[in-house]
Amino acid sequence: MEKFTIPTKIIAGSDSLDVLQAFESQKVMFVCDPFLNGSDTLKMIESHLPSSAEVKVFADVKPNPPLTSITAGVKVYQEFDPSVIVTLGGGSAIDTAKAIRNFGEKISGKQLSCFVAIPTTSGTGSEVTNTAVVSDEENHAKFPIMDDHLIPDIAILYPQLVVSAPASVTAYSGMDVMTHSLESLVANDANLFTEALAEKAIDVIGNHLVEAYRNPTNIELRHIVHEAATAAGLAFNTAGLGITHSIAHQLGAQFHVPHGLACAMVLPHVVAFNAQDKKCEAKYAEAARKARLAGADSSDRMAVRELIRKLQAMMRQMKCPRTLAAFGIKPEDAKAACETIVKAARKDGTFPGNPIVPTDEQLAEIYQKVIE
Amino acid sequence: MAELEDQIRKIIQDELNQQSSGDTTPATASSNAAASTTATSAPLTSGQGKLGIFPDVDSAIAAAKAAEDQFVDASIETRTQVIDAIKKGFKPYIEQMAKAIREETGMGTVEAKIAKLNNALYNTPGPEILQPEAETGDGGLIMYEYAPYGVIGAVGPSTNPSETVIANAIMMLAGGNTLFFGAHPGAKNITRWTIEKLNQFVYDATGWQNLVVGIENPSIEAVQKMMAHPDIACLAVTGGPAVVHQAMTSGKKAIGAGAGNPPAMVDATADIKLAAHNIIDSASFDNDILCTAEKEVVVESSVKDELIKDMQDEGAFLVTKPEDIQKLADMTIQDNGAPDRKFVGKDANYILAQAGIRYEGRPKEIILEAAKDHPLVMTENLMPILPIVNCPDFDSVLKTAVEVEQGFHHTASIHSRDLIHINKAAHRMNTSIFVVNGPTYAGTGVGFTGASALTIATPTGEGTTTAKSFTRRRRLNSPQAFSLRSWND
Repeated sequence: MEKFTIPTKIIAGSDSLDVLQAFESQKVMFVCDPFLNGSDTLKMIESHLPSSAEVKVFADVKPNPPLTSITAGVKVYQEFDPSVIVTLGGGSAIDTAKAIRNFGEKISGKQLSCFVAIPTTSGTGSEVTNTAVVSDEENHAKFPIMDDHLIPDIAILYPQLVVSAPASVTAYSGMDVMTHSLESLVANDANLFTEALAEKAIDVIGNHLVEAYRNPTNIELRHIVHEAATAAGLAFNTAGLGITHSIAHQLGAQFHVPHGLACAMVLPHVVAFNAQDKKCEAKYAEAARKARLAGADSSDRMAVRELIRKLQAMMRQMKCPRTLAAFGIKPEDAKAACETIVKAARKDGTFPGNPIVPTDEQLAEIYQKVIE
Repeated sequence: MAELEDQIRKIIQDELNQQSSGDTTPATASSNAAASTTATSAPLTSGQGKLGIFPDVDSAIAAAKAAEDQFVDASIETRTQVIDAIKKGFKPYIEQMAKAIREETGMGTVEAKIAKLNNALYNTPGPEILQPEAETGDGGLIMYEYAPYGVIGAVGPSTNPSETVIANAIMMLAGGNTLFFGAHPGAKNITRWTIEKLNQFVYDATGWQNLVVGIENPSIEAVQKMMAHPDIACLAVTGGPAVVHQAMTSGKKAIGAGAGNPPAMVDATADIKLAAHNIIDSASFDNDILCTAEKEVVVESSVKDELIKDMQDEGAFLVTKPEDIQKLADMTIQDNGAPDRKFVGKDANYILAQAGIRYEGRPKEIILEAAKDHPLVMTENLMPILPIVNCPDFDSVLKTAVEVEQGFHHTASIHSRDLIHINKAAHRMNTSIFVVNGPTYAGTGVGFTGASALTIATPTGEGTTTAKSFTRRRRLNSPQAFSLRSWND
């Protein structure tokens, strides 16, 4: 059975914040990145709430959300007892908010009336997915909490928020979107709807991300890339992901490589690996041709090769390190972690989504390609 | 707080357990995956392993040397038989090879490759052109013959992989040499296939082996090793400036094909329609990857607009917006000034699409107006982008053409009805190939226009190479005999 639902109401554009005016007399808990705490941005967003709303801000968000910070958030949740959570920030903030909601609701036994996500990066797609990835620092592990109940009720895509993102964030989060698109395109649960979204996101990212990176204040570009990120999130929320993410999650846990960058490093190698399968190859090729990233009359093999070169070119143009060594991880340390990474990647929640099941040797081979 | 964390950990543990129990291993596609892993990428495979392909440079050259020690003594008839076997053997494979080259290198067009393969196979003269010269008289006989060097080390480009193997083999074997062929890594599969097939054809027809050899994993290091190998007598190199320079400084006889940047001059007296046809036909042939192809047009201003219009009628797409031209230049030329390989030999429509320039139909060539010092004019970019430089009169057309050709002395052409202009330009351009009122590909032999010329040795002076270029001129003096005209008793 195929299914495809979009439980999240997606509101986009320069007037999208107006939907916050509906929260009359609600207790609104903000979960946001620390640098937003007390910022004009946060004040501007709060100003869209009706004056009757009561607000509490939790800003102790950390990258690769650790359990300690989530625990602190749950404590605030217990004390404040919100009816609405509005989360504002990158993937970490939204994931933290989802995790707080998950544990907070379970422990208090009460349900929120609304959960609003306002992404400030164009990347994770977390604003429309059922997943929050949580790190257990004590045990060097990352695990996803997956529950359709965690899908945000409203996602607000307000492109002005993305403008101030540092260039590297634009690059990494954009490559994360490309990874979501290319992985979900061939993932086991892909269907016509998810493929359509993925193909469109590939087109937008492939043709506009570098431009947005170079012209960060161009709202039109920011808007379209921002929407593409959400589209790719919708695609993978149903279709699933694959071993790029399985490996990239480990690079984050082991070496603190930013998530989007880790994905970008691994992605070209996984595309090449999955393209061994003729069906996958054809899907990649078709998407690349549609997005004009490959010649209209190129064969599947050529088109995939063009696609891989395009990914590498984008990384070069946006100054992304393409290996762990270039990122600053000593190759001997990276090599030593190989077995742990392969083992953990196999257990990763995204692993079953991959269209071909790799052997441990194949996983190790892919990992070794990103070492130096 | 600690209590809360414990609570949270417990929830996580419960959820993880739930997830893993509900988790069914995805239907083991592993057999499927294993099968697809073994899918080989070689477009064409030939049954046996050997067939002229060796694991390393030393063993390959040793085999070619052993073959040469025999071949040097063989009859001229044997050389002809070997060459005939090559011509006959490849005949049924031409289209397949053209497709495989296009597939592996991603450059050019299948149609042009078929023409180039036919040119290499059936338009490359053999031993018949190596006629001796003789003088006789009171000093008896003085004779000159063209003798082999020995094992020639050849390096081929990715733009003409099989064509170069075939044309080099015919020319060098005609001269009595054997050859080691260093493939371009970007075309190694088709090059290897060509060498293997060639060995098969020659062996089946004549029993000769290893007249042409190569190695399993071609690389730059292997080429460097080959160049320094004592059993390599002569080098024939087609490639970038670095590898040609290396050959020329190797201490061995080197025949090197260098870079070019051929201008096509059009003066006010030209048959503009014919000029437009010839230029677009020739520049778009194999998507402009021939080193001889027109890389820029220098036109007298009184006929510029007419020429552009006629070029558009021939299937050229005119880019006019300065920002689009800038985008094309930024995209196709790298910071170091070299063309981006990604666009070398690509279709015009692909390049336009990548640059985000709207177009209709299927343009064959991208044209645009540019100043003579524009990067698109000054770069040998090997892609279907043809800038047009406007000059007020013929003298400045010629001066500009000399300037943009940059002293490569490679190829140039003129479209004119004025004999003085034609002669003056031919003289001043001083190129290995000069074409008058025709497509420059004529200079390579495509279209019954003289012997095939795959290796155009400009820096070393042989020009369009033939079998004779790969031989040594040897002299024999016999003062006592022979002369039939006189006798002093």
